[in-house]
Amino acid sequence: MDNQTQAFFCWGVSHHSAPLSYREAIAPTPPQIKKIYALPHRCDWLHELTVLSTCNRLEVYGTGYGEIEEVLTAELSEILQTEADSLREKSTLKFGRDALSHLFAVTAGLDSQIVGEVEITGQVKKAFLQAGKRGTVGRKLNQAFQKSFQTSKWIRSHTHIGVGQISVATVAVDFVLKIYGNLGKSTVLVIGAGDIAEKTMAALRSRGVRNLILSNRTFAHARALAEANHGIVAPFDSLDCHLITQVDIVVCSTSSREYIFDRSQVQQIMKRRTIRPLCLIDLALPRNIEPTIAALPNVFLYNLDDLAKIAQSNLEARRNEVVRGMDYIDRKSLRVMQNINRT
Amino acid sequence: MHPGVDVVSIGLGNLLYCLGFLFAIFYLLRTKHHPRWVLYALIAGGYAIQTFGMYQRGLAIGGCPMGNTFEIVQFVIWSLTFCFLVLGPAFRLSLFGFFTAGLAVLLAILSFANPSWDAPYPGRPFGPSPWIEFHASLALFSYGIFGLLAVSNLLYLLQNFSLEERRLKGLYLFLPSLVETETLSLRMLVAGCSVLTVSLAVGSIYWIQNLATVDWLKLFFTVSVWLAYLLVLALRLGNRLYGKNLAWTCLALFLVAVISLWPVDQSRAEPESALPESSFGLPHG
Repeated sequence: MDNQTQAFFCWGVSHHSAPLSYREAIAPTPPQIKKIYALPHRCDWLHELTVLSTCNRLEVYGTGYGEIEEVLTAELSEILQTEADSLREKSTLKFGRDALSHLFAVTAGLDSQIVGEVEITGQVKKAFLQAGKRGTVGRKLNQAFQKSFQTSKWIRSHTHIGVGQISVATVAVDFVLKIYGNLGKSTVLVIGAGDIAEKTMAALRSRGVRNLILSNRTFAHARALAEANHGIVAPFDSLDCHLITQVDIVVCSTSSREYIFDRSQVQQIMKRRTIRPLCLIDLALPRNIEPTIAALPNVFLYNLDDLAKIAQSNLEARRNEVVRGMDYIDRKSLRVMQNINRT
Repeated sequence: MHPGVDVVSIGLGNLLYCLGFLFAIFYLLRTKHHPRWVLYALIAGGYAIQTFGMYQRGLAIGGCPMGNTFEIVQFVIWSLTFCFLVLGPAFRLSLFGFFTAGLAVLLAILSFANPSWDAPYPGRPFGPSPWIEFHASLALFSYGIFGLLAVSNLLYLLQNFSLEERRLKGLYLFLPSLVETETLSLRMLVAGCSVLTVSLAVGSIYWIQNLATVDWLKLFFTVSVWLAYLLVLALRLGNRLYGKNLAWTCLALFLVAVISLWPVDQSRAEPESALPESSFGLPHG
C-alpha cells in the first residue's frame, strides 16, 4: 500500500470466512468496541473508522495509510484478546472499490446469511451513527455510508430481494393474511408449544392478531406461553367442536402421534360455522391434522412441508436477485469511488 | 352512424382505460407492482372524456344515449368505471383497478369492433316519457355494478386458486384477501339488486299503464336476470351460497346478462322504429 495514499478499506470476519464458534469468540463487548473506536485517536495511520458488529459479522470500515492489514490485525487481536494469526486467517481485507462494493452489498442485505433481510440496514445505520458520535467519521466515510443507504433503498425497490417470506412461520402468516386480510378481528388457537409454533404466534401477533387462545397437554406450559403472548388458556381436554367453531386460525404443533383433527370433525365444525373460512396450520411431525381435510370447501390446510417448500423457493428467488443487485452495485461503486477519491 | 365529437370522445375515453390497463400490465410484469394512483388517474381521465362523449351523443339524440347496442355497452362501461372510481379508494383492493380496466377494455373492444352495433335509430330511444329513460338508465347502471361484482369475484377465484395451489408468487402475491373480496362482493350484490329493483319498479308503472306496448321477450329477460340476482342474494344472505360457488355463479350470471343484451336489443329494433314511444325500456325492460 502506498504510504501517501489515504485508502478506503474494509476489514472483516463474517459468516463467509469464519464459523459461528469463532465469531462468538471474537464478538466484541461494549468496552472492546470503545477501544476500537479509540484507534483513530491514537494511531496516525488511521483516519476514519466505523465498527459494524452483528451476529454474523464483525467489520471495520475506515480510511488510512500504510500497511493496514498488519497493524490493524495486530491492534484488533490485542483488543479482542485473540491470536493474531487466526484472526488474520479468518478475516478478509478489501480496499477501494472492492471495499465500497462490499459495504453496499452488506447494507442492502445481499451479503447476509438470510439474503434480503432488512435488519442489517438498520444495524449499519446504527453503527454509522455511533461512529459519528465518537468523532471517527470524516468526509470519505460519510460519503461511502450515505451512498450505501441510497444504494440499499434502490436495490430494495427495484429488485425482488426482499420479496417472499423465507421462514416457515412468516410463510404461514402470509397465507393467513391472504385469507383474512386484516387480522385484528381474527381469533387464533395454538395447540402445542413447539419452537415453530411460538415463532408463528409471534409473527401473527406482529401482524395484528389480538385474540389468542393457547392449549397444551401440560397446562402450566400453555399458561406460561399465554402470559408471554397476552393470550388465554383453553384446557387441552376442552378442545371441542364448539371452541373450534369460534376461531379462524388453528396452529397445531403437538407431539401427538394421532390426528387431533380428522375429516369428520372438521366437517362438523364447518357445518356450525357461518361462511367464514377456516385456516389450519399443521406444524407438527407426525402431522396433527388429517391431510384430506384440505379438500373440504372453505378450509385451507397447510403443513410443514408446504410452508418449508415455499420458504425455500423464496430464498432461492432472493439469491437469484443478488446478481441484479450486484450489477447495480458494480456500476454505482465506480462512480462513488471516483467521488470519494476526489474528496 | 353518429360520427363526430361524441364517438371520438367515447373512443378517447376507452383508449385511456386501455392505457391504464397496459400501464398496469407493464408495471406488474416489470416490477411486480403498479402505482395505483396512476391507474386511478387514467381511469378517471377516461371516465371524464367518455362522459363528455356520451353527453354530446345525448344532446344529439335528445335523450339518454342507450338506443343501440353500442350505446348500451358504453353505458355499462361508464357505470362500471363510475362504481370503481367511487368504491375503489374506499376498499383499496389490490388489483381491483387493474381488472376493472381490463373488463372496460374488453367491453370497449367489443363495442367498437362491431360497427353495426352503432346503427342509427329514429328519434329519442325512449320516447317522451322521462320515467322510462330513468328506468332504463338505472337498469344499465345496475349492470355496471354487476360488472364490478364480476371483477371482485374473479379476484376471489384467483386468490382461492393461489391458496389451494400454494402459489404466492407473481400476480398472486398482490391479490386482495378472500374475506375482503367477499365483503365487497356482498355489498355490490346488494347495491346491484337494489338499483335493478328500483329500475323495474319505475318501469312497471309505465308498463301497467301501457300494457299493449310491452315487449314480452325483453320483459322476460329483464325479470329473469333480476330474479336470478335476487335468488343469489337470498342464498348468500342465508349462507347457502358462498365462497367459490358464489363467485362462479356471479361471473356466469354477468356473462349471461351481458350476452342477452345483444339479442334483446335486436328484438327491440324493429317494433320500436314503428312504435318509438312503446319501449318498456332498456336493457330488457
